[in-house]
Amino acid sequence: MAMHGILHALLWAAALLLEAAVVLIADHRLRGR
Amino acid sequence: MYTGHLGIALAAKGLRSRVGLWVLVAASQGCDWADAVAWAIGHQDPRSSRWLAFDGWTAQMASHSVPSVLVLAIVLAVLYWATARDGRGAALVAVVTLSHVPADYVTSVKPTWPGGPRIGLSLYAHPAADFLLEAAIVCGGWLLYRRSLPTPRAASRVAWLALVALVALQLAANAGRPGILGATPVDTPPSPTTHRPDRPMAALARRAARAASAAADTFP
Repeated sequence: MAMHGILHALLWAAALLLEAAVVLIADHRLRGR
Repeated sequence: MYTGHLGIALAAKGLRSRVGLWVLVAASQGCDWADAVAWAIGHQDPRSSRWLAFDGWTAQMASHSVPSVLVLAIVLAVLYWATARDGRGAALVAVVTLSHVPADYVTSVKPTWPGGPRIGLSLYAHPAADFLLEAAIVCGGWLLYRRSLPTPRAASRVAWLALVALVALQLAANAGRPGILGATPVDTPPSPTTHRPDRPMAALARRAARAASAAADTFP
C-alpha cells in the first residue's frame, strides 16, 4: 500500500508538471525570452 | 479538475499580464500539490486522519477543504505582494488559488470543513461531459491569455500548439481515469450531491449494533 501511495503521488505530480510545462514553455517562447 | 485549473490561470494572465504565469499556474495547482505530498508521505486513504494530529482533519481536508484553501490563498497572496508590491496582482493570486476548490466541486467530491459535508457533482464519473467542460474552460482561458501576448505572437503556431496540447492532455486524463484523475474512493460518492459518510453518531450506532450482536453471540 505504501508503494501504491508513492506511485499515485508520482503519477499525479507528473500530470501536474506536464500540464504546467506545456503552458510555461509555450509562454516563454511566445514572449521571446 | 485537471487542465481546467490551468485554463483559469491562463484567463488570469490575460486579465493582468504583470503577474508571472508561473505564479498563477502554481496558485491554480496549489491544492493538488498538497494532495500529492499527502500521498507521497505514505498516506493512502485521503479520508483517513492517521498521519494528522487533529480530530477530523484528514489529509484531503488539509489539501482541499475551505479553511485550507483560505490559508493557502492568504500565504500565496502575501508572498506575491511581498516580492512584487502589486496589490491587485496579489488579489488575483488569491482568487486563482481559491478557485481550485469550487472547480473541484464540479468534477469530484471534496470535504468542506471538519465535521462538514462532503460535496460535489462528481463529473469525473462522466468522462465525456468532464472533457467538454474542462476543454471549454481551457479554450476560454486561452482566448483571454492571448490578449497578454504581443500581437504577432497571439496567433502563432506555438500559441495554438499550447492549446492543442492542453486539450490533448485533458483527453488523455479522461481516457486514463481513474489512474490519473485521482483514483480515490471518495470521488465516487453514493449520492451525486451531498452526503456525510463519516457522521460520528452513525458510526457510534453501528459500533453499538456490532457490540450488541457480539454480546448476543457470546451470551445466548
